[in-house]
Amino acid sequence: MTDRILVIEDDQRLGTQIVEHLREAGFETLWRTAGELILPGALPGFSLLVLDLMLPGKHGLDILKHLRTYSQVPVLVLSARTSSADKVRAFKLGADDYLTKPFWPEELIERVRARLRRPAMQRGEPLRFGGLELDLGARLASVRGKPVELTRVEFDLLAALAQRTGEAVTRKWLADNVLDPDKEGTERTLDVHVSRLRKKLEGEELIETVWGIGYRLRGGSPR
Amino acid sequence: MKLRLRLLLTTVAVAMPIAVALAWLGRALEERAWVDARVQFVIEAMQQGDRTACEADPVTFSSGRAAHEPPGDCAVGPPPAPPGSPPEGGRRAPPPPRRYVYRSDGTSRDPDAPRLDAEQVRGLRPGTGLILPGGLSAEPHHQPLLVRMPWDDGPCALVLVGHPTPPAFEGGHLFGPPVYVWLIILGSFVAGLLLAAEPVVRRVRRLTREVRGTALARLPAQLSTQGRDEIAELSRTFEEAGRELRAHLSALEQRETALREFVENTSHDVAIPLTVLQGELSSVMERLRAGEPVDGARVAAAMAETNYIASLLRNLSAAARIEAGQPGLQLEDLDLREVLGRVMGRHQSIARQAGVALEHALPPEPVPVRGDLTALEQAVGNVVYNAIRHNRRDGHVAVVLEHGPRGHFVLRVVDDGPGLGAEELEQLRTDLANGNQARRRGPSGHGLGLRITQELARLHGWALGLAPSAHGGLEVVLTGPCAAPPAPGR
Repeated sequence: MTDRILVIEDDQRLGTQIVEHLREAGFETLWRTAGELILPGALPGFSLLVLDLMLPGKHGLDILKHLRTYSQVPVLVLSARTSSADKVRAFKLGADDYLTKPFWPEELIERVRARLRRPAMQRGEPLRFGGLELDLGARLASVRGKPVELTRVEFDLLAALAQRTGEAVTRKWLADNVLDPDKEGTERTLDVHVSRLRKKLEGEELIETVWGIGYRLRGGSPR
Repeated sequence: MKLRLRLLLTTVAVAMPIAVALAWLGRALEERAWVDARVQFVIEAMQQGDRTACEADPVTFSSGRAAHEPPGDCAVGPPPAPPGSPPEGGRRAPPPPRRYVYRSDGTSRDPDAPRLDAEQVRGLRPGTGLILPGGLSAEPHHQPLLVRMPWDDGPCALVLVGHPTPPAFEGGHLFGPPVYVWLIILGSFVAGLLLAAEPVVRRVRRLTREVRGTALARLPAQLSTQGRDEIAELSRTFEEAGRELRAHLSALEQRETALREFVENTSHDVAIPLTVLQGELSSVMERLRAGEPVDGARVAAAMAETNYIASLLRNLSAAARIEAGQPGLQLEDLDLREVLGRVMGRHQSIARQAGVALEHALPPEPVPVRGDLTALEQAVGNVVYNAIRHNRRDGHVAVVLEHGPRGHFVLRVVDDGPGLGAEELEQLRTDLANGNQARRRGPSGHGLGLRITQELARLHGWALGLAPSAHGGLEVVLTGPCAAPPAPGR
């Protein structure tokens, strides 16, 4: 289902740009230019609010304050004001994010997506990453339905990456938290384990090397 | 009004009423004593023989004739001079005062005796006297003094005599010394006061001169007034006030200078990337007019310049605040992961435009710090932006935040760009260590942003380290203490 996003921005050119980019990114948008309070039930079903602060009529923070009396919908504040006091005030009134102008449209889209992203892990259910299925509770892994035998370290390594899917994890953190401290728990050893794990996953290019950091499990972040 | 004149008038205004009151009191006491002595004298005279003569012939006694006759049974001589009377010396003795005698009820056998008020007679106790209003016809300059004898019987229970003015009261004496003595004393007192006030006036004048002098010369106030009295305290207060005022003025001037420099530098620094941007856009426009395809590299270069201008504006604004000594940090509890997340979000699109892969890693646990949201975003953002800007296409930038030893965090920004030569890196380190002006740009372009980062890090108690990266570029490390975990919800 497409997320609906309400945009409140009084500048015609900037508002048009924002709406166009959100639509191109696959969102349904509703654009308002006036600074008016949003009454409960007036705009049902929107998933996020992009809110400018300097609006004709009501100030954006007044709109936010009123909205927070009855709704917890995520709010991304846009403002040309860069002082910490403004940001802190917006956060205290219930803003979820604060984007200062000027900004690139891609940044706005990324921030909107980050706010709408749902939890990737659901307790008790097996996780799926392409052809890989991982049952953390039963400590079982299978590729395209075929069980894969993993050592303790290999499974822990895969589980550590799966628990932070899409995020780069440093080799040092993996070495410290996955490898057996009594044995040779170096980053070099970790690289060997990763190499073996990749082979066992039979061509599923899931474990990605991240330059300067470590590894990342890609593609397993169901929305 | 001058201080001396004020002192003089105040002294006179206070001293005069006091002197008059004391004089009045002294005179009243002296008069009382004089009356008492006179009463005692009259009673003693009566007791020593005059009573007998009086009771024998009250009328003759009253007329005073007996005083000029040889002593006899009824002859009563004039009363001896009362205590305190001036010696007769060579002067002729005054005539004896006339005496009138009365019964205890106030009636007299002497037809010349003045009538007495019955109330006054009743109120007079034995052995006491009372000055009556008016005068006596025989002695108009004497006040009538009525004395009640210690006895009530007979025609001589009350005696009315002429009561001479006390000698001390003659000639305008108040009491004690004459008036001119009092005037001399008062004058001496005033003169002494003025003499005592002279050093005070002199010190106040000197203080005024020095304060005026330092104010006009705009020099730090160093006043010569010494001591522990109020004037010395006033002098010290002037010095302190002067110091505070000068510090305030200095801060204002510093701010004004910083603002002026900010405007000048902004105009200069923005003009360069703006010119480059205009050149890139001009090329794109020419190609479009010629019907040629738009060069992606040109557009990317134009976008990079807008990024640079945006970064420059933010840093110049911060530099102006820092150099004015008013960074205005608003400290609060933050999770550094969220700060870094926002910085990465901002720079991902910039990195993509530059063809640089920007990656980051965060620890799963919060990294609580106490800091200013905007300042920290800017401090970290500058380092990340430098790593992107001073990289090459297809280059890499990795940003790693980790928990370090002893409750500290470690934030590393590593790139594989061309980096800095050993000499340039050393120069940059020296400039940062010496705290050279945040505003000044280095030849490599790292200067301003890194100096802002250095300054903001210092204000947060963080450390900034620079080293050649193992991948060929630069490795910038920020370390600082973790704080108590932030409140949930942010």
